[in-house]
Amino acid sequence: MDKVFQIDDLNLFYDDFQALKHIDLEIYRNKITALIGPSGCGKSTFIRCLNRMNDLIDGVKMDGCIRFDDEVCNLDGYDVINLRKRVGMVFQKPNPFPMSIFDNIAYGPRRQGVKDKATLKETVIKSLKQAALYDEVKDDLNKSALSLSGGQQQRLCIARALAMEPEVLLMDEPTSALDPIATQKIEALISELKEKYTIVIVTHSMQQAARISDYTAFFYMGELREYDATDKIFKAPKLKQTEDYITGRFG
Amino acid sequence: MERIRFQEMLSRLKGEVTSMLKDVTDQFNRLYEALESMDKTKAEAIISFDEAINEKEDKINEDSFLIIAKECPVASDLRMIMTAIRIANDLERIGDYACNLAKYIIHTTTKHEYNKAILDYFKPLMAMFDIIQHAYLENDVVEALKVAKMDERIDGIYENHVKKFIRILKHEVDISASEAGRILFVIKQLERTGDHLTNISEAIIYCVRAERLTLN
Repeated sequence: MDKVFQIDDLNLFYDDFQALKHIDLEIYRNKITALIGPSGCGKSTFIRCLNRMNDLIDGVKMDGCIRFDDEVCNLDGYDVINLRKRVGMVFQKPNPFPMSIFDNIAYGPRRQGVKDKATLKETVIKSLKQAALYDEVKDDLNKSALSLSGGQQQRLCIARALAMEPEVLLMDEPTSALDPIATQKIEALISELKEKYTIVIVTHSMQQAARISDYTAFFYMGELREYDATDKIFKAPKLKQTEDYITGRFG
Repeated sequence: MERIRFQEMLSRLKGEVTSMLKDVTDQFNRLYEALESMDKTKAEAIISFDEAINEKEDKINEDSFLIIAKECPVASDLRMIMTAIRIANDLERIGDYACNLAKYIIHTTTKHEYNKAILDYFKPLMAMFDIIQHAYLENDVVEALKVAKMDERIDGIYENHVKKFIRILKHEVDISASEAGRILFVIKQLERTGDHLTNISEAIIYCVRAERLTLN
């Protein structure tokens, strides 16, 4: 299968604390990979390695190898800005900029130097459509993004990430701040987006991982304990520890 | 241990299946006694008890449905529930067979020496019931696998009986064709009981090991 990321023996330390231990993992193209595990297991730290968000945190040391499209991307000198353009991210809490819906989405392309109004408008509309938000906001693109509901704000953030035409979308608990209906919409959207994008999602909802992902990685205390097709993990995982976690016996 | 309420629901479900299994086993014990003496009163008691078995199946299905709806079980928990539904379904069918045999006892006019053929099935069948009760309670795959072997014995007995009664059907010696036909019908039910018990042992193995085997 076509790999987007290949991670070999990845270790990560916050000062003296080792948060990730010898992680080997492959992320497959146009698939949804869910990262699950109890709080503090390293799943969010891991997802942030994929677009080098951890670079921004003091005291983080990392070794091992992360290949993105067959190219080692965790070396000094690798174009991090370009990496983050190709590997977009959506966070737990919707974080729209305090500006209009239109400007939120046009922000990235503008920073990239796109000035042509027609091109920007085209990008905004296309991104909103992809994020299944266009029909709800098409008449008020100049309205403040902060006036949208939580679920709409999160889809706006997804649209903002899509406007950069990334290859991979990282999502760190994208629905944990949303109500069930908004969650359902985002889940449906994620399933549609995998046609074009590779998606890696951190989730605390076992059912969400089971519903939407193709592959599931179970992290525990900084280690990747089990990684397999989601169907296998939720039917009959290999390890008792995985079983105990997904059946809710600990965590 | 987390999810205490959920664990309680699962163990209650397991208890219901165990109890239904015991009831059906008891029906077959009573059936054996009734057949030995062709006792119509005992046969009637078997028929009237069947309703309670059907109710147990309904309860198992209803409770399984509620656990799935409320608790979103996965992996071994989900297999345990699917197994409960499947076993209850097989047991309900076996219960119907016991009733059909009881009805035979009530209505038959065939000479007793021919009815004795029916008793041949009980030794292996009762052994299968015992093994299944133990295997289900203890999640014992090794024991469950033995059931398929015993079903082969039942199939062997059945083949011989079919040959014997078809000969009788053709020549109408001692008993009429319709009598022979009726005996063939009831022994077929006992042969099917063996198949359903084998299904149950497959379900137990699936529950424990997550492997689907076809034993018969």
